[in-house]
Amino acid sequence: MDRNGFMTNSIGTIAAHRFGTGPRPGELPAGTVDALLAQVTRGVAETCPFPYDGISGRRASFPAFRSLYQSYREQRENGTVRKVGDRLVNPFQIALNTALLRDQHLKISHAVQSPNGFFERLAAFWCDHFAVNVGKSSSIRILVGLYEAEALRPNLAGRFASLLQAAILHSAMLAYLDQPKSVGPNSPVGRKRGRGLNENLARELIELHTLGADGGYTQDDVRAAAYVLTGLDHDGGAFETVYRVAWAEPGIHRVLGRDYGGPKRSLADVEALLADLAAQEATRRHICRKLVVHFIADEPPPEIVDAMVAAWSRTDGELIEVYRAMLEHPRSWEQDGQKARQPFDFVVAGLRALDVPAEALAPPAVTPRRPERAAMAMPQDGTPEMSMMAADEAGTEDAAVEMSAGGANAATVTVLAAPTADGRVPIRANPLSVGALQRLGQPLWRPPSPAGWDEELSVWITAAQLTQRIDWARDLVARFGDDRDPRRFVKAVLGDAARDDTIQVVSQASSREAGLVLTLASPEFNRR
Amino acid sequence: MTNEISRRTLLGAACCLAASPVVTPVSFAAVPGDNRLVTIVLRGAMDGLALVQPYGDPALPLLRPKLALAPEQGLLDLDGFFGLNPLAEALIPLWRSRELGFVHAISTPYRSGRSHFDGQDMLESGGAALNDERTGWLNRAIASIPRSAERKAIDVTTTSELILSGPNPVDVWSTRADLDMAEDEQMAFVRLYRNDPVFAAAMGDAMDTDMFSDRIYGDERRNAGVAAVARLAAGMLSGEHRIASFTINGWDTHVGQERTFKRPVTDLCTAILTLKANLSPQVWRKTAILAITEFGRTARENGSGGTDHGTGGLAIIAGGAVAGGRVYGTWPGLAETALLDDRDLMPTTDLRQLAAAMLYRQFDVSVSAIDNAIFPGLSFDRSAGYLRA
Repeated sequence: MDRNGFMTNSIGTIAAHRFGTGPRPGELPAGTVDALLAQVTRGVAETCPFPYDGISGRRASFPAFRSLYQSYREQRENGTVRKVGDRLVNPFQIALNTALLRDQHLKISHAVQSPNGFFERLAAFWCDHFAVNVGKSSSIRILVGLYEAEALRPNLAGRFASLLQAAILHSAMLAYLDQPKSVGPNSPVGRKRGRGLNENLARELIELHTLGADGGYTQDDVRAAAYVLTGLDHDGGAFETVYRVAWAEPGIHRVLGRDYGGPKRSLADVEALLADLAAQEATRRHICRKLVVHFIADEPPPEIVDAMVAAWSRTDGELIEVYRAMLEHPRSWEQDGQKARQPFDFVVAGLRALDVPAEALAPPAVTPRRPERAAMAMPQDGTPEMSMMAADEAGTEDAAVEMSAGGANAATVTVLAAPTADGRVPIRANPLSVGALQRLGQPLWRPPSPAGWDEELSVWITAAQLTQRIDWARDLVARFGDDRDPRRFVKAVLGDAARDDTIQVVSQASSREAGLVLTLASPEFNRR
Repeated sequence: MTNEISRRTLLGAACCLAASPVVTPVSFAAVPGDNRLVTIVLRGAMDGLALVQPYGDPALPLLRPKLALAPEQGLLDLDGFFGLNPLAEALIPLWRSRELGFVHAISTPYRSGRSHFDGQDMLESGGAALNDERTGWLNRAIASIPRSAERKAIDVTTTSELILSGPNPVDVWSTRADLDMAEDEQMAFVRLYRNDPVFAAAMGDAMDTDMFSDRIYGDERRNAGVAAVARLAAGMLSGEHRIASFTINGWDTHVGQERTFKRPVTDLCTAILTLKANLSPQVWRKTAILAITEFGRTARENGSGGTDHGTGGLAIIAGGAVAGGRVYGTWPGLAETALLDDRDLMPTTDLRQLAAAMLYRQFDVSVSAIDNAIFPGLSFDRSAGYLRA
C-alpha cells in the first residue's frame, strides 16, 4: 500500500498500463526507468510507417492531387461531373479520403505492433498538444500523417524548443490555425489589398502550446505575437513553409517585454519569438503539468511537476530528461488507476492483449453496390456511420479547398486511389480500429478543438462509453478470442493490478468469450 | 414515462464536428418548466433562397435562371412575396395554422471565410468572432435558466455536438445504442463494477437508457434515420427533458441542386412533422423548433446548376409556441448593389438575436445572461416577436 492507502502494483504492470500501451504476448515488459526511456530513443530513430507512401512519396504526390483537383473543377465548370444515381463522384475528395484512411489505419496498427509503448504514448500526447484537425480543410487530410512523421515524432526526445519550431512551422499547423490568412495591415500586401491580421495561430501558440491560459500574458502580447508571425505562410503547392516579406507587418513588436522585428522583417523574427516562448518559466510549468495530468492523475501531484520543471531548467528543456524526472519520481508509481484509458489507448491495448495481427488491422476494400442499392440514402448494413462518413466527405465540395491551382511541374508517377466502379471511396474504416475510434467518440486526428481531447475520467467513463466499449470488446473477442482461458488471460493482461473480485467474476463467467469480454471491460483495464 | 432515467452523468465536451452520419445523435437537457426548445442544426449550408424563394423580387429569376420558381411553376405562395419550395409542401398545413415561420436574410457574425468548419463553429459556439467561445451556446444557456439546479442527465452515445457541449450536464443518446445482453450477462457486469462507483454508475445509466429506448423502439430495427431521431426526441421531451438538439446533413448543394436539395428538405419536413405527431397537443403547444444553418448560399446559381457558399441564409421556426405564418426579417433585396461582396444575400438579422429570443421567451433567461454569458457581446433586442405572446 502506498501512503494514500492505494494498492501499489509492480513496476512492470504500471509501466505497461500507465506509461505504455498495455501488455502484448511475447513482449517483455519494461522493468526499469531506463528501459522505458530506451523505448523513446528507439522510437525517435525508427522510420514512421505513415504516411503510407513515406515522407518523400507523400510530398511527391502533391502534384497528382493538384491535377485531380483541377480536372474536377473543370468537370464542374463543363457540367461533366460523373453521377451515380443522385450522387456526384469527386475523384479528388475520394483520393484524399483514401490516403487519410490508409494513414489512419497504419497509425493504429503501428501502435499495436510497436514494442516502444512509452514512445507511442508520448507521440499521442504531443499530437494532442499540437493538435490539428483533418476536418478543417482538404489539404490537412494529406498533411496530418506527414506532420506527425516529420515534425513531431523525430523531435520527441530532443529540446522542447526544437519540437515547438517543427510543429508550429509545419504546413499542417499553419493551415489549421489560419496563418495563411494573416497579413500585416501595414505591409505592402495589406495596404494594397486591404487585408488584415488573423490572430488564431498567435493565440493558440501562447495559450495552448507554450505559456498556458494562466501564463501571465495579455491580449496585447497575443496581438503583438500575431504581428511577429505575419509573413509566415506555406506554399500551397508544395506545402513548404515560406516567409513572405511583403505580408509582414513592418516595425518592432513587443511580446512579453521583448522586441521583435525592425525595418527589415524575416523568418528569424518568428524563430526568435518561438525560442523565447519555449524558454519561459510558465511554459515549463504548463507542459510538465500537462504531462503529469496525461500520465498520472487528473489532479497532478505538484511535487512531480516541480521535479520535472527542475530537470527542464537544468537541461534547457531536454525532453528526455523531463520524462526521466517524471519516471524517477516515486509518486509517479503510486495511486493506480486514477486515469481513464482514452478510446485510442483502450483500442490499442485491447488489440495488443489479443495479439491481433497487422493484416487484420488493414482497411477493408469496398465492393461496388448494385445500382439500386447504391442510390439508397441510408445504408443499413456493415458500419453505417463510417460508410456514411466516407460518402459524405466524398461528396463534400469544399469551397475552401487549399490546393493551389498553379505551379504543377514535371510529370509525376504517383498514382492516386481511384473510386470504386460505383464512385465511392475504395476502402472503408476497419471496425476494429479506425471505425472503433469513431464510435467511441475519439476519431483519429479529429480533436474537438485546438485544445485537444479532454483528460478527465468523468468524460470517458460514461454509460455510452461503457456500452460501446463492451460492444467493441465482444466483436474483438468473437474474432480473436480463440481458445484463451479467461482465468489466465485476466492475470496475463492485468498482472497484479487484477483485483480479487474481478478475477472471481471473470472466472465465473457464463462462457469463455464472456470471461474475455469482462476482462477487457473491467475497471482495471479501462483505468491506468 | 422517463422517470426511471434519473441518474446523473456528465458528458464533457467530447464533441466532434466532422465525420457525422446523415443524422447525428440527439442531445438533451432537462430543465424545469413546461416549455420546450428543439434546435436542428442544418449542416452544409442550406440554400434559404431555394427553400423560401422571394419570387416577388425581380432579380431572382435573373440570378437563378434554373433554380428560381414562380407560383405558376409550382412554388407555394406564402405571403404574396415569398413562396415555399414545393419539396416542402408537407409543411403547408403548419404554415396555415401559424405553427411555422421563417426568418430570412439571417446570419451569424461570421463573414467572408465561407468555410463549413468555421461557420459551424460560429453557429454552435455563439461567439461574436471565430474562436471566441469554446463551448456551445445552448450549453451555456442551461446554466442561466432559472431554477435549473436539479438537472438530470444521461448519455448513451459517445460524442456530443458543439452546440450543447460544455460544463453543464447534457445527455447524448444515439438512436442506435443498444446493450443487447441477456439478463445473466448484465448481472455479470453489475458484479464486475460493484466495487468501482464510477463504473457502477455508468453501467446503471446504460441499463436504464437501454430499457427506455427498448420501449420506444420495441423490436424495430434501430437506425439513425431522421424519423427515429425525431421520435426519440419527442419521447424525451414528453418526459423530463426540455431541450433537444440534433443535426440534419446534406445541404451542401454545389451541383444539380434540383436533385440534391430533395433529400435534406424531405428530412427536415419529416423531422418537424414527426415531432408534432409524437408530442401531445399540450406539449406541442409549448414547443419551439429552431432550425439553423452555418450560412446561406450564393445569390447566383453556378455553372453546375448548384450554388456555392454564401452569407445571408434562412432560419425555420416551428411548433405550437411560435408566432408563425410570417416570414420575418428585413428583406435586403437581390439587386446587384444590394448583394454582399456582389455575390451573397446581405444579412439583416443576427442569428444570435433569434436564438436569444427563443431562450428569453421559452426559459426566462435574463437579458444580462444573454448578453454576457450566452452570446457575449450581443445587445439582445427584447422586442423581437417570433413566439406567441
